[in-house]
Formats: sequence, structure tokens, C-alpha cells
Amino acid sequence: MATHPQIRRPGRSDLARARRRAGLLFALPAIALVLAITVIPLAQAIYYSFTDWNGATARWVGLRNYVNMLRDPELKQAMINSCLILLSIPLGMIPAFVTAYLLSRGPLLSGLMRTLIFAPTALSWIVIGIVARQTFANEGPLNGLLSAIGLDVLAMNWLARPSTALIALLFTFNAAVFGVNTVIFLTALSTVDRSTIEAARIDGASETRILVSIILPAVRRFVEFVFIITMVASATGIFGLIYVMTAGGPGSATMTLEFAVWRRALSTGAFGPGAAIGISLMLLVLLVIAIVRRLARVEADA
Amino acid sequence: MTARPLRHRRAGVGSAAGWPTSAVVFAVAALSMFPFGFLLIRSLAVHRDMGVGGLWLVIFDRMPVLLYALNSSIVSIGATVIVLLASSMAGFAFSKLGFRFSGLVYTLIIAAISVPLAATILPNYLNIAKLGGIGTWWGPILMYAALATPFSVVLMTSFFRALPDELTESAVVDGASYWQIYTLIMLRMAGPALVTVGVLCFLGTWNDLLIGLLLLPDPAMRTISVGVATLQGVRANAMDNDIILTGSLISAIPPVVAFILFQRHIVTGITSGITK
Repeated sequence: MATHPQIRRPGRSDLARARRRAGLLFALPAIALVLAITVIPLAQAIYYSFTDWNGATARWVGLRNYVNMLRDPELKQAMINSCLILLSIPLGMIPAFVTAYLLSRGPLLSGLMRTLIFAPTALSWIVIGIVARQTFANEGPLNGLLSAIGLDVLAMNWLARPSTALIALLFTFNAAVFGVNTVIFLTALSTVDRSTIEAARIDGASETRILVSIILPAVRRFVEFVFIITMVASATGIFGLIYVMTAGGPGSATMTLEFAVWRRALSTGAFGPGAAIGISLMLLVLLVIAIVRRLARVEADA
Repeated sequence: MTARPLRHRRAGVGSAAGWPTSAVVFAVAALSMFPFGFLLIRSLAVHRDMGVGGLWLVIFDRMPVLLYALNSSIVSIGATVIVLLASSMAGFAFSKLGFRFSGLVYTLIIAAISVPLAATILPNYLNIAKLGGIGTWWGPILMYAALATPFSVVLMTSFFRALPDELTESAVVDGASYWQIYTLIMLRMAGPALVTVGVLCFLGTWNDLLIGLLLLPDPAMRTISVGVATLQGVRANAMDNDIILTGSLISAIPPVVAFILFQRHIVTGITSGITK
């Protein structure tokens, strides 16, 4: 080597090199975990989604798994249901925003009220699902309430009919994320510049006008954020809820793409087609995120 | 990271609220308590010759509650410890040290947050099976830790970024090693962020079903979530229903306690993605 280490003083570049080496070493455990459990399995899943992989052997079948998904009535139902849950999210966000707005106006015991509204967030999807299953059951409290107020005609076995089972699932999902979304909106409202609101109020603007013209535009980023995290939760995090509440039934009435990976692949060994379902779900999530981001930008520019 | 955003709620956007506002908020809060009230009342229901609270004894015959709670603690605490170490070290690296392509690697870690578990669970299951990890503690612990890692790294990195660079630089000049800087300076200042990361990982692991169901098939190693979900399989009469609800309520005690204690940290954690 041409360099003479014995006459070199440790300079800036040596320090920088030592720092970079330390940086790589410190980041290594996290990088290894993400590589092993997310990056490599994702690459495998993409590859296997084009094969008839059964856990042992995998033969290349091209796009067949994806084409079959479109022909399979149960998976078609799962796709429709995944989209329906997604479309129900904005409806669920409205009461959360209204509640956050009311909370921000400083009602009695607002700190305690916020805690009570947030508390169900601690419950797992399994516990929520078990409560929901019994609430909607034939002899459950919902039918009890309906007969108590004289609406016996509406009392029914909610989870036994395809349409009402799906409605019950959509309702339960949105009710379960209501608390956390309310608290995020409350945080959003606390970031709104108070002096602008005071000035508008002095100028005689109504509370509705202030809400629509000042507060909503100021918290738009939070609205986008709440929609995206709720959407991701609905698409990828409610396996436990469906497992205990409806198991995807009756028939395939409450199947989602996420649940289909379990029912169609993990319990039968059809891993190739299952990988295609999982990858389709990921593409759906990424597509929706891209659309929301685009819409938000267009609106911001307008 | 915005410290304790909820403290500012009094400086919110509205004027002092009248009684209709309070009444509506009270009603919403009461509805939110429905699952807790339902679980509690039904778990105290009287069946056969048992008195009030009898179901809290019966559940221990139906399900090894303490064993399952211990199993849940093993995976939850194991995963949380690994995530705390891995994410704080990586956060230190990405915010203060850097390395070749560290920007690109960080972007990839952010992208990993939006990869659904459903897309990777099949290869994961077979990879872990091939390595002999089914029915071991390390299999699910690594899996849970890895799934919580991307979000936790982002949280720790943005926390450390807010600390002045001079802290690290002057310690280097004084001859401290990077490991000393990490343990003596970074970790000591990172308390609030570590609590957030730890609580979110603990809650997510304790409350999960899928991974426990897949990777811990031995009934003696079941987590309490899997145990409660399995109870439902033997559902028969009204008393069985109430036993399941009692089990659900017991399984929810640790997360609810953690939640009440660390509420503010949870909100900070969830919203940290947007307040920066």
C-alpha cells in the first residue's frame, strides 16, 4: 500500500469512516429483521404467486392464479367486501370528527370523556369480535333492545343472513376504530391556529362558517392520515375480528381478501393461489393510498 | 415529536361549551363503554348453583388462564425487548451516524410499513417451519418483533433527529465510543420515545391472533388471545357464552391497564407519522 499509517494522524476522514461503520453496525439488527420477515418473504410471495406452489413443489403457471381469482365467486365476493369496508370508512369518520370537535369545545369532564371514548382501542379484535357476535346474536342485547322499544319486527338473527351479517361487520369495524380516530382528530384540532379563529369570530363569522372555512382546511392532512391508517387496518388487520365474529360466513358473505388468505391457503395448502390473493390485497392498498395522496394534492392546489 | 399534544386541549378551537355539547359527549362516552359494561355484567351473571362471580372461577377450569397469560407475556415481552433495542440502535444510526446508502435503506424501511402481513404470511410460515421455528418461542418472538420494527425505527429516528448533533459530536471529540454514546447519552434521553415504542409493540403482540395461531400449535404454548378464540369453538349454551365473555375480559386486563397508564404515549406514537 502506498499510504504510511505510522505517520498519519487520525483525521476527519478516518473519523467519518469510523462513524459510517458504526452506523451500519447499529442499523444492522433492524435491517436484518425487516429483510428476514418482510423483504425476502415479499419477494418469495411475488414469485410464488405465479406458481402452483403447495409448500413443497412450485411449477410456473404464469398469470393463472390471478385470472382464477376473477372467476372464483368466493374471491370475487371477498374483493367486493374489501372494497365495501373501504367505502364505509368515510362514513365512520364523520361521527369521530364531530365528537372530536365537540370535545375540543371543552365540555364538562372533557379529559375523562376523552379517556372513556379512547379506551375500547385497548381491546383486541378477538375481544371486539366476541362481544359483537353475542351482541348481534338471536338472543343478544340488540334484539332485546329492539323488542323493548316495540320494534320486534326488526329483531332477527343478524349474523345468519348474508346482507345483515356484512352490515354488522362493517358497523363493528367502524365502531371499533371510532375511539382512536376521535383522539387523532382531537390532536388535529389542537394544532389549529387559535388566533385566526378568534379574529374570524370578532369579524362576525358563524361557528359553522369557522368550521368549514378555517378548521377543516387546516386539519386536511390529518383527515387523509386517518383515512389511510383506517383503510390499512381494514384491509390487513382484522383477521382476528372476522375469525371470531363470522368466520367469513354465512357462506362467503363476510369474506375479505385478508381472510381469504387464511381460509383458501393456510388451511388447505394452496400456497401459490394464496400468495396471489395476498399480493392482490397489497396492490389494492397501494392503489388506494396513491389515489388518496393524489386527491389530497389536487385539492391542496385548487 | 410534539410532546404531550393532549395537554393543549383546553386551548382547542372552540369556545366554552354549553350543556348540549356536554350531553352529546356524555352519551358518546357511555356508548363507548358498551363492550366493557357488556363483558363485566355477563361475567357476573349467575348460572346454576353458583353465586355472583362464579364464572370467574369456572373459567380457570375451562382454560389454563395463568399459563396462557404467561405464554402471552413471554412473546409480548420478548418481542418488545428486541424491538426496543433494534429500533433505538437503528434510530441512532439513521439520525446521527449515517452509512453508505443509509437514506435509501431508511426509505425502504418506511415502505415496509405498508406491506400487509397477509401478503407475506405464507412464505414466512414456511421459512420459519423450515428453520424449525414452529412451536418454539423464538419463532413468534422474532416475527412479532420484525413486524413492529419498521414503524418503531421511524419513530425513534425522528425522535433522535430532534436532539442536537453536538451531543454526539462533542462526545466523539472527548473520546467516547459510539456504544458509550448510545447507552450513556441517547438511551437516557429517549425515555418517552422508548415508552411509546414499547407500549405499542406490547399491545400489538398481546392482542394478535394470527401468528400465535400459526406458530404455536402446541396447546401448552397457546397465547391467551388464541385460547379465548378457541374457547368459542366449544360454544353451546348461555353459560358457555358467559364463560367466553369472562375469558375475554380477563385477557383484556393487561392491555387495558397498559393503555390507561400510557395513554398519552400511545396518542403521540400514532400521530407521530403526521406531526413531523
